[in-house]
Amino acid sequence: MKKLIALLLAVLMAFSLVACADAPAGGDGDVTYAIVCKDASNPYMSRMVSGFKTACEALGVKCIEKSPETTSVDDQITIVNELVAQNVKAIAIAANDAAALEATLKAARDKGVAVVTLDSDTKGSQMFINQAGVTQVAQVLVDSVYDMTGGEGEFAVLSASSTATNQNSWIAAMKTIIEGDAKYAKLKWVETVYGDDESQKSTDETQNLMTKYPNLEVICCPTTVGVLACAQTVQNTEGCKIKVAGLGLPSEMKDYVGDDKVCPYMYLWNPIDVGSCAAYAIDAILDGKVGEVGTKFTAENETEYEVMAGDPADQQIIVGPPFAFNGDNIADWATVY
Amino acid sequence: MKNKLLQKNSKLSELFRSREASLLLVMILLCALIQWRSNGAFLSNIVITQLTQNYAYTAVLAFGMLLVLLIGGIDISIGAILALSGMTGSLLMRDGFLPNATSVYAVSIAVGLLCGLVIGLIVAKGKVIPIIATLGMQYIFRGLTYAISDTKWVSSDQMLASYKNFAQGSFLGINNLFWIVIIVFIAMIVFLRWTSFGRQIYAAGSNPEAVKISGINLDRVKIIVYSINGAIAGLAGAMYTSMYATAQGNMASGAEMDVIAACVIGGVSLNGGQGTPLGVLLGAITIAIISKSLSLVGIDAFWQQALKGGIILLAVLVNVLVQRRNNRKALEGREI
Repeated sequence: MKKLIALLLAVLMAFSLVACADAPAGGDGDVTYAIVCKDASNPYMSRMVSGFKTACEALGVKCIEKSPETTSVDDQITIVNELVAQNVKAIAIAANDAAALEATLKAARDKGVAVVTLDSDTKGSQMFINQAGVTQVAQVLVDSVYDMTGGEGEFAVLSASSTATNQNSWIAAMKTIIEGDAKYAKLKWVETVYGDDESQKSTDETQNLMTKYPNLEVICCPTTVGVLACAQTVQNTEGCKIKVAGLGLPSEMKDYVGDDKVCPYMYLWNPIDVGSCAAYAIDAILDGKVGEVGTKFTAENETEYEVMAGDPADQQIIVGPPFAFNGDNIADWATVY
Repeated sequence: MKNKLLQKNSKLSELFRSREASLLLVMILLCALIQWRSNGAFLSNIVITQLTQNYAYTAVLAFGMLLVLLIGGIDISIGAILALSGMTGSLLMRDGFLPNATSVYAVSIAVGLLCGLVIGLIVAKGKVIPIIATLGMQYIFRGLTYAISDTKWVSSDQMLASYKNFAQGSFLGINNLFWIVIIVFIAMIVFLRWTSFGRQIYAAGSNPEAVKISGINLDRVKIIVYSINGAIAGLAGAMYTSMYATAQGNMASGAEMDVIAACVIGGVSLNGGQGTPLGVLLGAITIAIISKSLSLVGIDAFWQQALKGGIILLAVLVNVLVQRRNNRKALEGREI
């Protein structure tokens, strides 16, 4: 009995591992592109994957997705090594760490695998598919705050974790923009808090901001989980007049976005475009169409992309400016992603 | 005369001798410190209401964990059970199978119960040690959550208004979610103190050999305890999704750590057989106070986690020291 149950458990565990991975790469002659996400459970990431897959189909190549259970960089290293052993032609990865993947990715490139990063960059990548320029994102966030406060007043930032690379670079760029333009001189940035992309902590932090700063006018959340928790908390606090600005998923934020709601409008880029851009960029790299910084190439979907200098990746492509979601278009977009 | 005085004294000191009383002391000190550091912002009606609402599910989970710890077990899969049951309820609600809030809660509890039953069977019949069994099941439950939800979230507009409103509503000035805590708390007291099965749980943890000899079915105790714990985690899953009006695949990951910390602070022994619902309630409130107040008193985000760990250790240490001193005093009293 004991052995039987132990065996059963082992089989179950093995099954759950297998269930996480997609079908393995095909046999000889098949060209396969792989995509590695930050973690398997993020809906934003799964839309990115769907864009990548669609583009792969259009290009006539096979596509596999492998993602770690949690946002672990160690797991990503293992996955990349496995993919190289499976002879994939290219790997697109949303890095969980800004440096730790460098040696692994370099080794993959030495074996002839094209390596691009998307969503989050890391050292060792040859091309970063940038969902939106850091300054572009920071600019729309600062402008939302400016608009929602009416040009002057107190605002705070609720971010993801204190070590999240994306969020930290946007916050730093917001600071530069506000300090560099007299237009924003009357905005008072009271505090930056971190909700760790967790509902309980984000709720705590939102409520604490309300307690600490009675005159707070806007909370700006450059994170899809944070903005949701923040909007929900503000909406459920009676008499609270705080407005929420930030980056959010339309399908999750549908209840909170609109002229008479807590979040008049918010921004995000289209993760499907980010995914497809990665696949087209890989195709261009393998075809030798990507040259020096400054060259342009037209992808299969007729979009023209410009190759720019990257940091820390060798080069980068910016997919496009962030897109605004408001009361008029949120219902339509909520059905898309 | 001297005897009388001593008697009176001992009754009073008995009150202060309990572990719960020393924990209460720690809590009061903590609150005073936070009140001072937050310029008086902490002890307000609003903050306390927020705290009881936001940490209600943590407290409920802690009562389930108490039972498991009492029989000398542990369950680190409760975060994953919470996610799986909360997600199942929310998905069925999204797809229109559940007509009202009560049915969503019922489904979540049922799924949690089933998860707990599986763990109970593996621990009792498979003789797998609890930490390994629940470590394995944690991945299975979490993986299932991603699988059934297709890694999508259930969002606010897909939930019943009554379900969301329940978590925001209140009765007699107390938030509905905290009423659940109070009900579970009272049920635990009655169950552990006045039912024979409750006494069996204590016995199973403090002396399993004696329990076996006395004819109590230890396996049955284990299976039932893990099942109850699972059902409670399922209840917490419904509380979570109705409170935050969202069901996400990775929700409450790591919640078990706060819950175990709450139990330990509350004086529950990891070796089994020792611990009370009152201690656990106080422990959960202490955890809530620590988590809530760190950013309120303006601690830098980078230091919050380290400080949280430090305060947890300190709270346990002070509690243990006070307890030890009281025990010694009690012994001295006996010598006279």
